[in-house]
Amino acid sequence: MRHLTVALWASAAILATVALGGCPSGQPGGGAVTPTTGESAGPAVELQMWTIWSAEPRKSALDQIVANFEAAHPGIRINVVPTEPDAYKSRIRVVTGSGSPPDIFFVWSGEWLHNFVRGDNVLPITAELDANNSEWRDRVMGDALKWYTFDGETYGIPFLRQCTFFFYNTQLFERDNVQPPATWNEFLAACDTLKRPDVAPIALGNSVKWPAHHYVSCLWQRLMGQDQLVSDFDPLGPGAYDDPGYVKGLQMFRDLVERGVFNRAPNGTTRENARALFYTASAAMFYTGTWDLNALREGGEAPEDFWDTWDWFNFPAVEGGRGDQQALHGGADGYVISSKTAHPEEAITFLKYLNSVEAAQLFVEQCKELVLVNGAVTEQNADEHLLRYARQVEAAPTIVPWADTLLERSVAEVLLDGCQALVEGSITPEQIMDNMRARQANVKRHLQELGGSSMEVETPENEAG
Amino acid sequence: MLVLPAAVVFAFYITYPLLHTIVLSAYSWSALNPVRTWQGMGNYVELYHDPVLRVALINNGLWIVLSLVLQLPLAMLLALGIGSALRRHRMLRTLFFSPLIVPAVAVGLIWQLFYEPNFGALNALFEAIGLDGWTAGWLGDPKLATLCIIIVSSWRYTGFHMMILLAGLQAIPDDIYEAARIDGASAWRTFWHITLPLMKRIVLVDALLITVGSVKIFDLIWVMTEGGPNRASEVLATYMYRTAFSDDRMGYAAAIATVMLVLTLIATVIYVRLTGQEEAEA
Repeated sequence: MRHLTVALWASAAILATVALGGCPSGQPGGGAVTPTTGESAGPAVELQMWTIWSAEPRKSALDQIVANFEAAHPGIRINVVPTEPDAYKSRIRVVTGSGSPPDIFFVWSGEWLHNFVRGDNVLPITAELDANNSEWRDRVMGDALKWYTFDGETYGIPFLRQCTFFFYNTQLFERDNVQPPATWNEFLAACDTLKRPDVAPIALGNSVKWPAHHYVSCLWQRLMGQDQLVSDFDPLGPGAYDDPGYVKGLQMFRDLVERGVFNRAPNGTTRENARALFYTASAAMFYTGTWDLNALREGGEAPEDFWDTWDWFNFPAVEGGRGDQQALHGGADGYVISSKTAHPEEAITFLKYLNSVEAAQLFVEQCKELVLVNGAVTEQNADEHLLRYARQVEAAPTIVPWADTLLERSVAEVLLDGCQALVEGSITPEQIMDNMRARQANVKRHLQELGGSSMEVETPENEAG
Repeated sequence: MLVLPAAVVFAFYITYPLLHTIVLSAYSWSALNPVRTWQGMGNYVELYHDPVLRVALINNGLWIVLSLVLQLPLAMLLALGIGSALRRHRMLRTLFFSPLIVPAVAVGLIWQLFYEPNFGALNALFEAIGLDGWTAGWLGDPKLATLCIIIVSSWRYTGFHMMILLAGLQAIPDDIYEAARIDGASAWRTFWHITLPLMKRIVLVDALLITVGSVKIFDLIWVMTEGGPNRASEVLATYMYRTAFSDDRMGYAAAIATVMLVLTLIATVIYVRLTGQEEAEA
């Protein structure tokens, strides 16, 4: 295995230099990861499963699902390795590159997964999904499998549905007699009304770069529609970005900054601190994902008197936009099986169990999160927030992934950096688009040298325009 | 023959990866795909025109200069002050050294809160004393971010350099100072003509430590800004890490690593020359 040695040495060399200067958070000697793939200890088949569910309550929920599975399948043992999300992103790349990846591992949908698929690192499970009258495929809620499908093959299962919404403080809205806005113009008016010396209309913690990009991502979808985005984002497509909607969307976000709707220095504010601004009523709104539900509701980190004083609304419709104005924005985290696994059958058996109503209900019960299995969320195991969220997802015409999960990694970084600079006003929308075009052309050349495939997404019929 | 084991270990763990990094920098490749495509000098040509590399180089330069200017004189002052009455100030010595024992991640997070623009201590302090105009975004301000982190780094490492200089001070025999005192030399003359020349060697070693540390700096920046906003506080190490593990451009990252290697080599050669000269003089 020449490639294996090459990859190992490269990671060692690069990491050694970094390690001398200190390691990133919680990741001492990132290169020293040595997974033992599929080595059976005894008669049972042992599978390695890597996940980012390192925090409670997800960790316990997964442990319990695994315990139930092992009780029912004595011949298979699942060894769960949880890693903190930011460290996971680099670790999984290093072990995959070194040729000894875990059998089952966590993925983010879209381009992040596509990157693994391009290198033939993921096992397609299309046949298993379609077996028995596509009994398994029908279990998956909505159109989430779409973002796990490339060139007609489906790689893995989407499990958790995360969506972003405008969360708002109902007391501050009542005080100023503001209704949740349905359109962009209503939204701008609401911001102006809510603004006070001690209250910012919106909390924005952009030190991690992607929260500001969510606004741009949503505006682009509202203005141009999902199909336009998917075709431009495809690293092997023309990547022209010649629709005026791109510059317009970026400019609309810049106008929002200039209107003074955000807290002080968003680029110096962490996401956690933005959340704190929101639940201390220093900000009236907070655009965030359903991953923050647990922090805001009963028992979360927010103060007790805040627990019942918030609600959420979908990103406003943009007047004159060509996209579906009711679409939600979100991602679907899930699991895939490595193409290098020595035990594909056992791995598929587990993935199928993870995707069963039984396991899904257990997860919902413990974590109060939206699992993408039909019938997972019930009146018994969910609270009012989750029930409402689940209904909203079910009713949504389509759920559009955020731009940074659809763009090739380095192109996404260009957009994220651009949005951060846009908050400062140190770049123009035109410059951001030029940078993206240039970077994507570069990526395209590289992929063509490798002979890659493009992202095939079926055109959703319900997308307007 | 006795050095053979050491030589083998050195070749295996240091020389081979270093050479290999240089080889890999001539390719374009992803960690997830075994296929590599030959670029020749392509990565270096791109680096030459890369505005982010320019920012990173300027920032590394700032790190070197400001760390030297802030840390060396301060460490020297502390060492002199504490060295003059070592026994009584044992507590102080521990106090100045303590920031180094706290992990970089914790240091970064604590200072991040201090700099926090909305409810952080620094802005609150300025507002409390009526200097509202001095409040800023600090880590969120592209012009200030690097400076803010260098100050944290200096806070963290000055105690360490004080200990090194202190060791040097203690190596100077007391009778030289006694002779100077009998001759009626002032404190300043004693420092300038006795302490500093005798300390030259150790100050140089310390300066090299600060320089190499500034070329490789990674941890505090990664924790506090991740090189942001919009790459304003990026240095070579963070840029290399991001390129390799976020952008997944391993070949390009290897090229950045090679640039770092060359810079560290240059610093080392200069140091060897300087100390060599001094040895020749002695």
